[in-house]
Amino acid sequence: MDDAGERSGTADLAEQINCHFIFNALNTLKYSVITDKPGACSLIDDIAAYMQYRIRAVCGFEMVFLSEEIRNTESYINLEQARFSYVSAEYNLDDTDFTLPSMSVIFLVENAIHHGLLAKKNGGKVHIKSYRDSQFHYAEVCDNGTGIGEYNSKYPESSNNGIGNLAALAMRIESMAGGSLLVESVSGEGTRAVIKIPI
Amino acid sequence: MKTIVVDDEKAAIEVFKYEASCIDEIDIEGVFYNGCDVLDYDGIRNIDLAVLDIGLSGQDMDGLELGSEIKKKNSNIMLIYITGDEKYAMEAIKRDAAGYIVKPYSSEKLRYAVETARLLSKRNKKRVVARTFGYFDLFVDEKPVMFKSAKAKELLAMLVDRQGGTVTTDQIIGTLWEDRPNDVSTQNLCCKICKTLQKELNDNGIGDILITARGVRGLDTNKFECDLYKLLDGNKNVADKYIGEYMMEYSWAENRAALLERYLSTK
Repeated sequence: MDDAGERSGTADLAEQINCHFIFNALNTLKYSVITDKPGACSLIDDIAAYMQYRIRAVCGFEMVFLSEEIRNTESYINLEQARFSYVSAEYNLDDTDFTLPSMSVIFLVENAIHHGLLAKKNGGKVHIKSYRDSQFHYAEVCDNGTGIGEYNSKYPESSNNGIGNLAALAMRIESMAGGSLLVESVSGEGTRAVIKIPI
Repeated sequence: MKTIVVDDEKAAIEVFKYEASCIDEIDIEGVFYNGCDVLDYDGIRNIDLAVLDIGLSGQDMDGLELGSEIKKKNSNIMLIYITGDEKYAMEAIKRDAAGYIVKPYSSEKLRYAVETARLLSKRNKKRVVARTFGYFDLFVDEKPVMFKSAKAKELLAMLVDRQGGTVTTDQIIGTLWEDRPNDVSTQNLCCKICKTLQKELNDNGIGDILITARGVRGLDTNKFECDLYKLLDGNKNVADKYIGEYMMEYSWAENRAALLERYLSTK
């Protein structure tokens, strides 16, 4: 690989591991330590859990149980909440006994928070649900943020980590699990993303 | 350096305060969670250093755009960006950032960026000299300022004469328009001249030497040199250059000239 290729490879990797998120999380951790806040230890656990899970996915996406995906999603959300207290989360999980590609729910939550909730002046809520019917398992991520229509990147190269990934995620869900991804977004009201996996 | 910090995260601001607390050069004058508040902040003209987060969530502009807007209000201000992401570094440098720090950072990294900003700011700073011996003149980088309004220049002379002390509208009228009644039309004229002076100073890039608050005005004497102040400070060389001529063109300056005579004769 030539020099430029190697550099862009490194940049891609940094993007895939979501380095800036980890750096920001470490900065928040530092705040907890400086101010002697009781949550510092659990922040360390969350950072470690999130990194392990994320790096595993960089080595290759694998099929995981929804329960495992949700555990790591919780770590991720805890870290975001430590930074942005005005982001809240709600879980309604009626069906966790099925598998889906790792990072699927986390990517959707990331999108919900960064392109839906944080763009709103006073934050909002991300709602994570799972349920089933006779044919499919469903994992759903909704937010009451600005809607995808409002999102317009000033730095297109940075969108790798966000909207640009929805297409790649849809492909993974289809090729790895034979399922599908449906995204509906209403500008000013929010976004709803549903992963559908056949039983 | 008078410093403001802008970040949408409370935790990030607290971490900055903590790291900055052991750096003597940093004097935190203001903390902002929102870029718009910075642009509404009148004191921005007197700030030396702005420390900006780049990703300002849910706001109309990001930190880089905010930096450019701040520069329009205070061209001498130094900018340091602090962010969780390295990818904006190029853009920040293109926009004349004095420093770029990736979170989390040590106080050493911050100290280095602040030191760079301090050195750059010294280089950028205009050298302003007020000369009062003989006739009154103001020099910026050794060139005399050509005031378009003679009254504005006289007002500046009066403020220099006050050595940083404040003057009210009534005092200005009593000195600059001693023949006119202190009525609404004179007050309006005075107000207009104050604005003209501010504009002329702004046009010369030194608007920050004039301080206006609630109808009183004064000068920030830290921002310029003046032969009178040096003389009163006991500078022998400057005193030797004084030959009894002080702001010759202004009759109200005769009092000071007389006081200086007495002051020097007692030395």
